[in-house]
Amino acid sequence: MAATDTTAIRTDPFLLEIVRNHLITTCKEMGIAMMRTSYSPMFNEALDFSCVVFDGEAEMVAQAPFVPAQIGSTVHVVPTAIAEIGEENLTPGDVVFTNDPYRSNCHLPEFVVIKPYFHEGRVLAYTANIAHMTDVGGMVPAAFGDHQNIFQEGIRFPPVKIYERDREVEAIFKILISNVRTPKHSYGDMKAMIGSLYLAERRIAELVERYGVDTFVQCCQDVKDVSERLMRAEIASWPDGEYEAEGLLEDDGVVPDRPWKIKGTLVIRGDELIVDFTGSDPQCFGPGNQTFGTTASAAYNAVLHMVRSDIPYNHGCYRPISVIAPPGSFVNVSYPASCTGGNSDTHPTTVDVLLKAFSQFSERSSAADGGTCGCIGFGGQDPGTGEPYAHLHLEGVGWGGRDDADGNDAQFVKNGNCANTPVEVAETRYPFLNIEYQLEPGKVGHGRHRGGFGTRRVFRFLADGVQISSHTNRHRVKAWGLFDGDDGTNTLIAFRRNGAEEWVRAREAFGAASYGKFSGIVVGEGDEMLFVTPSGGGYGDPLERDPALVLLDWADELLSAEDANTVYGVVIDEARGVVDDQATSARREPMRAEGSR
Amino acid sequence: MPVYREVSELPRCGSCGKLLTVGGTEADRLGYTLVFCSEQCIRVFDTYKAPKYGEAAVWPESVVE
Repeated sequence: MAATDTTAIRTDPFLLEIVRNHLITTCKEMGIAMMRTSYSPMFNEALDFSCVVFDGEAEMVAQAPFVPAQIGSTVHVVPTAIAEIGEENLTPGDVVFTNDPYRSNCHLPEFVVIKPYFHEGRVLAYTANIAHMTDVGGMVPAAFGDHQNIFQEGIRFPPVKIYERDREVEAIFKILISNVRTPKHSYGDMKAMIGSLYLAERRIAELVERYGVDTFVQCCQDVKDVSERLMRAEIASWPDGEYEAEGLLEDDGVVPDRPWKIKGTLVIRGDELIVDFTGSDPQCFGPGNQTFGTTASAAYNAVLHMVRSDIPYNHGCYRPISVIAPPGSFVNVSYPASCTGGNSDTHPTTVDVLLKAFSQFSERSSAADGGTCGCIGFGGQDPGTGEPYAHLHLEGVGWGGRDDADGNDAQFVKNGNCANTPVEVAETRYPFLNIEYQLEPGKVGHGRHRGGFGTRRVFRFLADGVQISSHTNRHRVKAWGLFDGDDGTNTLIAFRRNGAEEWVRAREAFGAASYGKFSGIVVGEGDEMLFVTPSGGGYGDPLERDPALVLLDWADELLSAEDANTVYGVVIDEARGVVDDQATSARREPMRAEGSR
Repeated sequence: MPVYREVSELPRCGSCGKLLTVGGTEADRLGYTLVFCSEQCIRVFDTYKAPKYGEAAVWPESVVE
């Protein structure tokens, strides 16, 4: 296919920038509204949602820096939902809702709402958002565990109208809130989502009123074409060829010790890119499978890591990229298999697989990150109110080192820009204390640019009957290093009964099939849970690391003087707190010569 | 069941693998009638997938006849 004719950008470039930024600001304002009006910490603290604007052709024209995994899937789930309802069946004031993962959504907990913006009887745009609901019913609170099918995961909605002509469709709300553990929060969060759509609609109406319909429509076309042109130029600068890489999700929570392979091939042909996942494993038995939307999103995520950062992100970016994801495979789940964890843990690994493929021709790539969102679900009955509660805990991990910097410490993985829930907020709402929370020192993927450090946290529970479920990764398979960097370090989840000395893991103590994917472990008052998150892989030879950076890690108590010496060949004068330059040179030369690294 | 078709009854695009709830373009390829979600996907099938994988390029989920 010939590239879209991008020579004919009709809009004045200054006006185009004004309109484009108005739309992006609209997305940001939607997010602020959701944060301030929602009920659950997943929305107002973790910020696990994304807001987007689509044009009348159901193509994305604006987004803001929210959650990449969600944004990439909206490229597919929004037009799919609109087509299924039928544009001809939409009326002003309607809102379409779906959470169906098989229809290109990321996974069941991601709720998608879409509102058409009508002007003089014509749909000029769609405002939409996608947000992670804490609880969607199913067999465990907060949706993450070792499910084996979609029915265990929770309630599923194909595209339906949840608002008709500005009025709630009562039946849909009743079905929804009667199937979740957190009806008040779910209702409030849903209303926050829908409220942001109305806000965005007003902002688009202001644009149309100011510049007119024709100009608005032309601007939507032109912003996409500009992005497409910039993206094609980036792809064209890469060498034609096929570049393969593989990575693993260590297990599926159902079959012990059986890893699941993601194979990705970048096929670069001029200014187009095919991301081919043929050769990936069949779909697994647990929740690690990716939906098509998740896999496409992971492909976009990886590509956007590799291109210039000033390309406006919209549908035009995605036009030159084609994805191949075999149905029924680990990267394109078929009904009724489970897929909640595909979006949380397989997605970041898929991005890293593609970045490894990119590293075959570009140093701009990065080593692998911690490969897990650290999803721990807590639930039970609130000891104060007696009402059911559900809380999804997200945790930061170490990112991989990259060409120009160390990996980020304690940061949510690449599929999201989510924040952690502050200790004070979590402890106010839920029956546990955080008695330790810090970076995990000494454990990291060493390199010229080291990986980021993971975290160490200990929860102490304040009530009996707290139910804990988990979908986490890298308990056995580490984040890989790149260009002679070391691999990262593992995740650890362990439990200690009240008064006990020893920590025990889920597999040995509770009969789980996996160390990191399990459901419904029940703890009581005084029991504790240890959660250490993985570090990122290192980038480049540690012997090339700037000794000043080694000293900084030592000063921050993240690296011992012994490791500085044996891994980096850097001799630290601990008494003076400085690098001994002469001793370091003398130490590094033979290490390089002997290849002792 | 007239009111709802489960996703397992719906086809997948013969190139990308996306579920097609409505629409799609049918095209005869390698002795089968396949459904595709876009002209771009047909072109990727013809110029990359079929030459590379041969008969294995056809997924049963994409065959509509």
